[in-house]
Amino acid sequence: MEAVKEKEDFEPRITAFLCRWCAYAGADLAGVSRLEYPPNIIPIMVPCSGRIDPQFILLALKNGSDGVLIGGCHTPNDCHYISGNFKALKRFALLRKYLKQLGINPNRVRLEWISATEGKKFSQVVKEFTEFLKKLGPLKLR
Amino acid sequence: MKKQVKIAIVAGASCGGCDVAIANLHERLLDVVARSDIVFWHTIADFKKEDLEKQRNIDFGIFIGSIRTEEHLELAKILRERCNFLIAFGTCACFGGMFGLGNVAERYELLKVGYITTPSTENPREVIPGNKFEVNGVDLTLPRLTEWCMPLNKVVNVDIFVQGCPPIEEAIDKFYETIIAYADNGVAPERGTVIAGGKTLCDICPREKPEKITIKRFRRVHEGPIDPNKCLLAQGIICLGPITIAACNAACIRANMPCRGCFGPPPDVLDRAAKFISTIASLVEIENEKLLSDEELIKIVEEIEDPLGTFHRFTFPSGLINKKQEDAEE
Amino acid sequence: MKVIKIDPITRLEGEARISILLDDNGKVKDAFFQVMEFRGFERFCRGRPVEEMPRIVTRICGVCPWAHHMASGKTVDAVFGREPTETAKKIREIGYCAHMLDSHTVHFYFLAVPDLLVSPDAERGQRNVAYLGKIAPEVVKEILRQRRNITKIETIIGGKSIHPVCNVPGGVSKGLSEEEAKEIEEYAKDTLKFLDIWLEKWEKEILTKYEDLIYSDVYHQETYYMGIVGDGNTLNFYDGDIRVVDQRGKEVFRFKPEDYLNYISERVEEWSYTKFPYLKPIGWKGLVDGPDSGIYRVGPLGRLNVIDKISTEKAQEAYKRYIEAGGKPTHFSMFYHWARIIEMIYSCERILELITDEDITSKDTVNYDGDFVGEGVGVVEAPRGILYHHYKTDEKGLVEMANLIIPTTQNNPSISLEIKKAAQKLISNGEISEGILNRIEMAFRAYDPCLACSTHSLPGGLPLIVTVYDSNGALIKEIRRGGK
Repeated sequence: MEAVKEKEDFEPRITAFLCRWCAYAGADLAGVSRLEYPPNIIPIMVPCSGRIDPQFILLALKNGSDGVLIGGCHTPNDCHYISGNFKALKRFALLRKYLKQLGINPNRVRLEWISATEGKKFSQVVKEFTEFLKKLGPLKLR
Repeated sequence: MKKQVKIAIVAGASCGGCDVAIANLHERLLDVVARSDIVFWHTIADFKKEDLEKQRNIDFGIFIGSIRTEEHLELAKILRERCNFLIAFGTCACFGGMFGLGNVAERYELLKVGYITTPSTENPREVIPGNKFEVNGVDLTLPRLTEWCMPLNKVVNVDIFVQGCPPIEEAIDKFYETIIAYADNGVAPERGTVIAGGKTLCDICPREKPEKITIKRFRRVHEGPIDPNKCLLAQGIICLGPITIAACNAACIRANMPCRGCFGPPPDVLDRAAKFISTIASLVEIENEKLLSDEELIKIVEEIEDPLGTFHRFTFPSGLINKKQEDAEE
Repeated sequence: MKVIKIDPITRLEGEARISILLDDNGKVKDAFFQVMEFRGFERFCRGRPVEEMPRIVTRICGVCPWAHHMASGKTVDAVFGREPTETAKKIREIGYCAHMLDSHTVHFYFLAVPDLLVSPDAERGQRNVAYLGKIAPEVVKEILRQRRNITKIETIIGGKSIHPVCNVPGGVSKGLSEEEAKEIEEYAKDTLKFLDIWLEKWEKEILTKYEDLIYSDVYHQETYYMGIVGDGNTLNFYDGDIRVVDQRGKEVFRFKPEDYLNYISERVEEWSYTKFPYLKPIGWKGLVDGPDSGIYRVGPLGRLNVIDKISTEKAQEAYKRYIEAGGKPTHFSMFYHWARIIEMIYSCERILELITDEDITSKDTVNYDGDFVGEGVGVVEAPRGILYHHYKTDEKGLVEMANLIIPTTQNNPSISLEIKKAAQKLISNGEISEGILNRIEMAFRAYDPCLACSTHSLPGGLPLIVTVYDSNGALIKEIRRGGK
């Protein structure tokens, strides 16, 4: 009974690294358009998804996040700095492999391309990701 | 009359390589011996634990190896209490070292494999050493493992770090000069010093580096000939040069083998595996990113086998996440 | 019951203590050689790419990393179904002989010989090479100079002398240049001259001065012996059949590396992290020697007992004198030290044979052809004895299983036996002195134990299970306590 209650009360904490030019703008648009999404994310603006150091992601997980969202511009052509998003994509793929070896569910880290006009997509992603993490449960690091 | 420096050399979980490295000062060893009063070094001298416990005012306590058992924990504390400057000597003491890979499993599992499941072991009663064991009322229990393997600075304050697996002669020489400066002129080394400098291996690597390094596919070292003149990364071979401190003489590179990072990272790195994930993934098809689909790029990246065992082979206990987790699967 | 603990034991590689139990009359009831260190290699090697293993397993031991590098290299050759090129085999053997010199000089000069060159009964602070350096600086300086040259040979071939990197599946990562070959040749010639002096010193001075100690029945076991033999049963560190002889020197087993599981089993005891291997077909009869007990010895003493001759001239002459003095097989443990000198002489001569070979500078150092097998066994003679590596991989070549049987582990039963014998014979009426305790330690020192190697496995806190058996081996009672 206790465990079930814990899960029902559990509100996942998501750190979202959002690139200034696309994903963060998309998040702003969601806000301005009054689209609803769960308040579980803590948005952090970065100039480009290519600025996201995998160390940030590990730090976030270590410091209490149950999930990490990376938001960047669509490949192949939307990145304001030309190819920063490709770096994020490739690093993310390798980080997932690493997380698996560490025994952490790699789906706790999610990468999405969200353009400045995709306010709706943004709110949908946050909703889905929050639901997923709620079901999965908190990240309990040893 | 020049002052004698009091030194103690104490080992945690060590392979013995650092002891041999100090002995491999060769002729210089006699200079070291002439200026120092070595009060504990179990590999070379006969002082026992009781002698170490009686010591006071050791100038330099050198700790080799990582913390893997309660005995090591105790020795680290004994040494810290009795010495002025505590040195983490070698990659194990600084970062956990190779035995840190033991953190991929809980102690019981490591034990089970060694004493029960290996094919030549015959142990029908499933005896595992380390439990309480007495003979005629005499306690002969072996020291237990600590829950996880740890570098020295996770259990006591460390003053000086000498990186290397093992540290090279030049680093040990530099360290020795530091000791003598203290003995002769009272010049105290700065606490937190890393005896190695701040650059990475790529800076001292003798190979040709192209203007841009791009990796089209990854090759493991057995797959084909390795060109001894070109940058290894440019040949698609994983080399940890970018994330390894330049404190060796690029010995492995000169032997035509890629760097595996045994000297540890440069300063100010929080998690070396994460840093290298950033480097190596970025280089995949860096000239052709826009010509390939997301899936094609991911496929190449996923060719990399065993990121944990390759990027954190010597430093896992010092990582941001430094032990195997048991997270839920869907 | 009183206990004397020698903690830690010193002048060896590794963490251990000796616990001696005395009854109320001061007689030694029992003595335990308790190895206290733990690793976990056999578990944490799983998941690693198998071609990386030669560089991973060197960290089992920094005093004999080449032994693991070589055994692992041969195992990985077998996993990939590759036969190394002729040049690669020769380069490996040169590096390996240089390592034999490195490891044996570390043991002989830094660990063992202070007992004999200073004195077994000297005070605690004097029984070490640093003190020798103060009383005989020229002697020690020459030893150190020789070691500089020996480690240089290792560096040329392996990249690093401690933790070499050159072995790849099918060969070695780089070849030798003319200059390098010349340099190696000069060093080997010089070291050979140096060893001549020490062989003479041993035979003429040390053997006579310590005759009682060396031939005493304190340091004497009649065990089986195991080692690799080359064609014609010659000394060979790198390759050959595995031969076991009995207490009379008669061959009882001869097998190939792949069949090792039929001949060796390892037991476990609660009081040491090191296991207790024994000859499976003979069986385990406890810590006793003799033909009914499967205990066997490896290392220089074992090797010189299983071979019939040495293929190089000077070493063979020295060997003949050794056999005259000790018998064949030799059961005196102190002869380990003499055997080491002879093996060092062989190593120099062997390097000189190989380095002058015409294709030693060939660039053909790796054979990339072979059919992937996914399993392999590699066996070499480590300085301390015969070493077995055995890996199984998945189809991608990632390790699934690793089994290692270590020389010092194989000597562990004999060491345990010898410690107990030494304690019982040297301690009476509970009287102990610095000299007596040191002489007990000299019992294990002859074996040149390498404990980091012997305990590559890892224990931890467990539920306690106590099982009680009657004299027929039937289970009477089992008591369990607690979780982790």
